[in-house]
Amino acid sequence: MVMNKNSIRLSPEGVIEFVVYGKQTGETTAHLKGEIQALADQRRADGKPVLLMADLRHIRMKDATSGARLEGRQIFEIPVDAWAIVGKGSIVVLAAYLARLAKKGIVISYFRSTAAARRWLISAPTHQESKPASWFYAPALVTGLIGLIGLAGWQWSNIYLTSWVGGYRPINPVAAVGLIVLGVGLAGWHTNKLRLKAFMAVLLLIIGTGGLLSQRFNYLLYSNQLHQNSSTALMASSGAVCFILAGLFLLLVHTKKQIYTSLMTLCGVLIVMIALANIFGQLYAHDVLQRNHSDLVAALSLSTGFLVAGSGLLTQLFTKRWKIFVGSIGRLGWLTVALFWLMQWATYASWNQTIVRNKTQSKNLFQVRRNDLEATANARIDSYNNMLNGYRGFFESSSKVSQGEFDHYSNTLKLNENYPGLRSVAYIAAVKDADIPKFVAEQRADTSLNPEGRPNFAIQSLTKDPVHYIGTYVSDTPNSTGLGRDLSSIPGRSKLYGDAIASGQSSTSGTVTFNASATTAAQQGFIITMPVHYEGTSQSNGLVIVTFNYKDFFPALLTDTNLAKDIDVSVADGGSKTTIYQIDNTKGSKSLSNAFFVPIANGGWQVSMQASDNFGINKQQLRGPQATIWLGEILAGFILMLFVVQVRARKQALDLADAITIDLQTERNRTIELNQRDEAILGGIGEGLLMVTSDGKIERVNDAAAALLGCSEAALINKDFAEVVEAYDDKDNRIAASERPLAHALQSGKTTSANLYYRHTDGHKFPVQLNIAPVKLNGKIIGAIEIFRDITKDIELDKQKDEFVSLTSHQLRTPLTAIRLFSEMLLSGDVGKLSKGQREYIDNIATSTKRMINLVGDFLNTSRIELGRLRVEPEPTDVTAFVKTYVKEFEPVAAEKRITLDFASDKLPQVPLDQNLYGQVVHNLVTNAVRYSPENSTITIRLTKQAKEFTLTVSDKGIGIPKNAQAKIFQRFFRAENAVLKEGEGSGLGLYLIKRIAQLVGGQVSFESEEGKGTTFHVIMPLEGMHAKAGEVSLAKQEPSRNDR
Amino acid sequence: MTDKIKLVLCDDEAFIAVAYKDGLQRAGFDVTVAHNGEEGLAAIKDVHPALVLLDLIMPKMNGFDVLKAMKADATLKDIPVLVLSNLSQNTDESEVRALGATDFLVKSDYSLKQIIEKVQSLVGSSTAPAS
Repeated sequence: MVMNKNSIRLSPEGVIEFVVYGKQTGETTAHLKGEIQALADQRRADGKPVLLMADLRHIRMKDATSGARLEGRQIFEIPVDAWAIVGKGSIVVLAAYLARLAKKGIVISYFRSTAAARRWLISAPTHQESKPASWFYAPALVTGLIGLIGLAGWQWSNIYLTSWVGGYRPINPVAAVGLIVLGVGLAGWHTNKLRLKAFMAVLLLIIGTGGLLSQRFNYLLYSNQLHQNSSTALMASSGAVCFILAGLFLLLVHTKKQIYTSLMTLCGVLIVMIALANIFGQLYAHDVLQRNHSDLVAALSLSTGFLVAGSGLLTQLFTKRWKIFVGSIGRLGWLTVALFWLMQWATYASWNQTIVRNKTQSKNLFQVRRNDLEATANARIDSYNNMLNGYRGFFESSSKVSQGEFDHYSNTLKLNENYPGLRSVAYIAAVKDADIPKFVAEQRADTSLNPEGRPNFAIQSLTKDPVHYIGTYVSDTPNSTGLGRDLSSIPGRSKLYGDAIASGQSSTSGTVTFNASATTAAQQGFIITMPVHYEGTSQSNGLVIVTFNYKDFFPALLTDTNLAKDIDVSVADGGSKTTIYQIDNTKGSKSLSNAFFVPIANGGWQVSMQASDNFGINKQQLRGPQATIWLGEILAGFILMLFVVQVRARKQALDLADAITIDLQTERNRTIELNQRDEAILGGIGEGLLMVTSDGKIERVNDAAAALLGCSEAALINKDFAEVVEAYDDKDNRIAASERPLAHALQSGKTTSANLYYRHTDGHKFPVQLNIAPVKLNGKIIGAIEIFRDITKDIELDKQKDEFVSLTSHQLRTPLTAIRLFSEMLLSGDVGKLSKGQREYIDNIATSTKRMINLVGDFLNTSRIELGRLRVEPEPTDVTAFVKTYVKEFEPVAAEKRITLDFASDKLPQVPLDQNLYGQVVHNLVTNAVRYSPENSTITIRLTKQAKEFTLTVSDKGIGIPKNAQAKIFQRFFRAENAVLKEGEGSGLGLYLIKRIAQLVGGQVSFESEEGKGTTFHVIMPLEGMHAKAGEVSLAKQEPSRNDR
Repeated sequence: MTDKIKLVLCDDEAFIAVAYKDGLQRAGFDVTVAHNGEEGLAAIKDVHPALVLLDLIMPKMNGFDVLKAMKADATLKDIPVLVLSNLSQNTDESEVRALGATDFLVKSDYSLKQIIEKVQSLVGSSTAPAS
């Protein structure tokens, strides 16, 4: 009874649908197979297509036993027009495997839902080849859609559509059309519209080649908009290459050769790789790529289109393999896939984060630097202002400031030390033209520094201005030129000083050029002025000015303070906007920039700063993003390896299951074949055959055995052999089970043969000859095979043969006896005295007759021994006495040749011997010894005892056996040449009979001989004697051969 | 009344019978020759010999049957029988011995002289004791 819930039905649409539920064994599957087969046959008979739908959604891999797989595979052998498998996971993979194993070119498809499967089966009743599932249209659709969107972007001047999203490279309109063409080509392939597909392939080749070779080709569509747009809207070379590859792929589809498939695979893989590289380039390396390889990078939309199309192409190409591959991924595999992408995302995220962090840090540090710089610059300017205010106070607190006082004050300020970048501090006296002489006199009289005053003080370059600005005191600074000079002579200064005095406030000069002095070249710089007045007056009597060289000032501000480290600084004059100082400390791109204004009195400077992306980032931090990528990708690599290992392991497991399935089936077929062959062999054997287990139960019999024993096979199987097959010895005694040859064979493990009687079920006993071979497994006896033969007919035949031989020899002997008797009577002179000649002749007749009689005896025995049915009847024998009687018997014969028979014997126990057989041996040996011994010699006859044997040795001093004859002496009818020469008598059968008898009873014969010196024969017999053997024949009695007179 | 010892020689082979008869008569025995089993049995009943020399293969009634008949006949069963045959198998010998034959000789293997010696050894001498 097959217990399962599997259901099968013929749907109204003519689809044989079956659903498999729960555990499946070989039995349930075989049952299902039978039902499918029946329905399929019926459909076939009706001349309708056989469509099969297997619903495998309700079972899992583990539900199918190996038996179920075996049978399941055979289901696929049923001739079916189309197969639809519904299900998911590994069970479908298994089904795919079984299908693949079962038949090449099986029309099969896999579905997730029964509705889809039904549609497929009904819509395509005569499938020529496997059709793709509907989702394979997706790549075609998506690719075409992307192209359409791109084209629409150009049509409606929508940058977001052409460049996918804002900010990325726009797609070339021709390329957009190319994507549409590619989509149509893919669809053409799926729908088997080969001409459409080929046409699209050619179009793609044209688009690709045109885009690659001619710039003008890019302007075929929307040329005006393209001209207005950036040149990046040209078709990228990589995109053009992809079109060519796609065209090539589609052209090659439906070619059969493996090389083309490889080429197609290559095309598909290249398309996907180029697309991926482009997408990555656009997303992550946009700047770099755009700057360096703008003609190579395809638009994001184009690349996406190619990614989809390429994947579609490859998927379509490897539908079956792909399914198998996906099937072999497994849960763990999917987990690793997820992990892989998670890792990729995490890597990107942390890479991005590191970059952002670095950038933020750079930005912050840069801001700090800016602030520092601004503060420092302002502080510096403030300090100058403060210094000038100090001077102002210094002047205000005095009615008259002498040169000595000025110098002293200046010295206390430690100008060079405290005010880096400073050129000089000077007091410029504002002197009216009229007051000049008085002023000069005053100065010359100033002895504050020198007791002699300043005798050399004189006004130089005196202008005609109403007020002269005379350089009066100069701090002890590196630059102290201009003393006594009317500074109004320098253009612009008069206004500068005049304005300053008028405002009463400090002011700055903007950029000025300082004239070259004896020690210095002309230099640019700036001046800050401060009007001063003496105590008690509000009228300004002059100005204190500070001068700076840019050359000295800015390095002191930027470089010496380290504030310009790793940044570019550019300083522009606030008024003229001209750059007054610039320092470049960075290389490469500078994404960070900042600017601030440094107010100086009534003017100021515009300071601009720039720094690279990595400003303030140390090397370790700089390596961060790269390290993150490396680490992440290495981890991802490991995960990928895990995936590969997992998939491979699963695939191997599936393959293994597959191989095992095949093996099992092969094995099963082989077992069936072997069994059938065994049956044939057993059936063909005429002999009865019984296989018996080690405990004596009959396991198997052949027809002949059953027939011979007169019962059915069933009456024998599993029965005790000794009980159902009774055995008897030739005296009709039942043989006990333990004494039967089978018991011996099972015990000893040796091949045994025997003759005995089996009882037929009708009660009669028949003689059998049996051979038993023990069956061993790993050295252990697990049973035995007995082959037995009814030998009733053999025995009959042997008897008839023996009777024939006996009768023949009787008939031959009878006339010979008459001749013998009459020749003897004549020789004895009973009927009158014979002449010498008559006597001699009759003597010859008598001798020949006796030879003839012996020959008949030998022939008779030879024929009997060769019948093989010679019986062996051992009886306890005193061997010494037995041999001695023979010696006695031969003594008269030996005496005729004056030969002495020297007999001696060890003490021997009683040995079971067939006296007739052993007597024949002794008789033949002694006959030969006497026959071939010279006159007056001695024949030594010995019986010696060994551990388990006894040996009869007969040694003569006769003619010996020539070397070349020694190998042949036991052959029938063979007589050595010297023997024939010496003695005409002899049949050549004596030694042959000895050898045969020895073989029959387990003895051994050997000899040593030297020609002309004599021969010694040894006959070795076991002390345990001979074993009885049933037979119908015994040897003829023979008398010693002698010449009676 | 002759006092020769009476023998019945039963052998269908004329030549052999003549040879044995001549030899035995010459040795002083009174030999009655029969040429088949029936004749032999009749002669034995008629003569009551001291020894029967019996061949085995004979027409009409073979030696085995003659032996059986003799042993079945109380008046004959004590007469010794020397079987002389050219059947040489020792199964034959054992069979006739089992049927009560005194001895078994293969004719071809024995000379006339040996046969006479054998007969003499079985019946004592050629002359019957005085009755």
